[in-house]
Amino acid sequence: MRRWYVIAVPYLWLAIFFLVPFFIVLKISLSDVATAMPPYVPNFDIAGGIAGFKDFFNKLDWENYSFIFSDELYYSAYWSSLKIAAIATFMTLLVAYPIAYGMARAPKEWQATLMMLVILPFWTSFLIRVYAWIGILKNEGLLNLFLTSTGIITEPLSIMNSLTAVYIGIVYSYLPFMILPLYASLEKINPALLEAAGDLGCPPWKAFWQVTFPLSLPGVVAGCLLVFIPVTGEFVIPDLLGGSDTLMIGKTLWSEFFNNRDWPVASSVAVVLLLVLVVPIVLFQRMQEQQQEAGR
Amino acid sequence: MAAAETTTAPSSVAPQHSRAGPRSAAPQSGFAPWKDPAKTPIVRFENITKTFGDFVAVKDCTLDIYEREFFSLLGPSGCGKTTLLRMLAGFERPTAGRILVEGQDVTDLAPYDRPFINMMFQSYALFPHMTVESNIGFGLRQEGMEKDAIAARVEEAMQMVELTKFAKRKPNQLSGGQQQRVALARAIAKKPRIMVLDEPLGALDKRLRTQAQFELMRIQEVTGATFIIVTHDQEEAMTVSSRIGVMDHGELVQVATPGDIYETPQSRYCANFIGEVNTFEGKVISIAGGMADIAWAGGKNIFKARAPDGIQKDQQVWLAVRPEKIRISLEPPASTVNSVAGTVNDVGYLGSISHYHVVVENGQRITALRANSSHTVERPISWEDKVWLEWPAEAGIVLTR
Repeated sequence: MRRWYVIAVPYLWLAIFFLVPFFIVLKISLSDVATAMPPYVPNFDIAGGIAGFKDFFNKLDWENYSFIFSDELYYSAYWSSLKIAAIATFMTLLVAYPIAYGMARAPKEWQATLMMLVILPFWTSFLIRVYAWIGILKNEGLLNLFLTSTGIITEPLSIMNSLTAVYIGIVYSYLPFMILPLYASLEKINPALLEAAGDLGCPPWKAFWQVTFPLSLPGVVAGCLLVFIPVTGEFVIPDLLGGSDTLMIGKTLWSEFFNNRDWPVASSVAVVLLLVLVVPIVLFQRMQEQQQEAGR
Repeated sequence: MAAAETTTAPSSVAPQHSRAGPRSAAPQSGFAPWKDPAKTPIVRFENITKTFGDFVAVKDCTLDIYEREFFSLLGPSGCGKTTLLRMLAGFERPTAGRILVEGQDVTDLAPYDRPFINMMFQSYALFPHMTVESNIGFGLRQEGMEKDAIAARVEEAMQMVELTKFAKRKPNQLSGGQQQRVALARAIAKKPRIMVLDEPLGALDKRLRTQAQFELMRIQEVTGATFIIVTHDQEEAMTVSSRIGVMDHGELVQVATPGDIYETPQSRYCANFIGEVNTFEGKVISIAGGMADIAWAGGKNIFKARAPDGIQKDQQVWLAVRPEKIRISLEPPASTVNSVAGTVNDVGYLGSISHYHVVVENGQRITALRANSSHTVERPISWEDKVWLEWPAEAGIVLTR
């Protein structure tokens, strides 16, 4: 019986901070836009009694969803977000893997310091760090200044307000989320395994793909999910570093919400985004569990 | 200063001699390639030194190991035995010296360029993401062998260690003993000429270990490979080895068959490390006809023993006598040579034999063993009995260090 209390705490937390807000957003997504406070109808009125309750439910409909699915813009925004997130996640993995590997192989007494250095950027606000990239990437920015003054290029590179700038921003901002789970799984690998591989005739570069990488897969998966999910809905980076042609669902959602003041459509965009991200992840985890069962 | 001391080796068991003595420590009778000067050793360590910073792990070791030998490197932890093995497998580079395999210098070869050698790791180092089968086949896949040939070799190796029914399991689904066999099978699947095993049975419990020792000897005979094992367990080394190399602080102090190390240790360290021994500190008073007279406890007792080469009069020496070679009796012996009187302090009855701890005149404890061959001969020796200890002249070994 005691255990019930212990389990209740996280469930209560999830209920208050995830389920309740989710149902509020779901409710708004089924409402209609209105010029009022709040800017949607119907609103639940307890004074109406049972009749008012029925009336409230009758007024909810799936209109906003059919609108989203009929408009090409949303399709391409979702698609482009997923594509950008996938490419950026892969690039983050490429940058993070050698760093995590180096950390895991570093002398034990350095590892705490290296870990500290990875977390250090969090001490500055995320927004400020993204703004700093503007100073680096813009046409008369630090990067171009350096490259022109050293004579590597004559014309400044126009990176700012492009997809390239968005990728740079994402890789930079999400790097720690990739490094930490990778480091955790790489650090657990017994160095004797690589010696054993060598002893059995496997040179180091092959041993990496046959031993190290497969054993680091849990870290790779965890890191990729930690980067991919938030990047798909990312708004700040494409807004500050990207150009007008950088299409991402986070930006679309923001403009529906603030520019069009269409809360119901913005909410349905958010609900669809949630499903797009959650459903494949749940399926993936099911599949992994089944594989583990089969391995037994 | 202690004039006599009794020391018990780390995990010594009483009837040491009964195993080491008659077996004369060779798998086949007459197997002694180290006595043949024309024979090329399969492994030669030539003046090997290895330092880590200021720490000298291995100091000027020279050692020859011959084909089909079962060689043990024995010593306490940190004595450099594992380092010596890791240099042979290629994981460490010697600071100085050369390693030859069948006359070829292999000192600078990478581990993966040494197909003639495979190692079984102390931690087993099994690949946790692979099944038993693919762990064993790992080395064969590196050679680019045909799939069918790999499967056949894996099957053969699994049969040898009786693992066939665990083929599809992952290492974490196996017991310690099963994991140990997978590690062994993985190394022998490559059919190496030389197998090196780092504390192969260290993680097993005592009962399983004895069984696994005979298992190892059987596999060594079947495969015909040269086995080199590292162990800190003197009993294990005695059981399995053709020869033992005893190491102390990075130096090889004696290399000999288990029988020779037990019967003629070259130092107090070796005598103490292998089996149990009583040592009497004394001074050589005369040498005649190959025998030395040693005065103990200020000349009260005279011990006679075979004089080793190069010994001199007035030299300080230690006389080592194994407990089972000491006769204990309630009657004073006829001769006072090689005998001491004392009082029984402790009796340990172990069934087949009894241990007697006797405090002799100068207060030292001497251990004597007696087989309980019959139960009605004489009055049993008991606590506080006045007894005499006596041993034949050939039982004592004169040690100079």
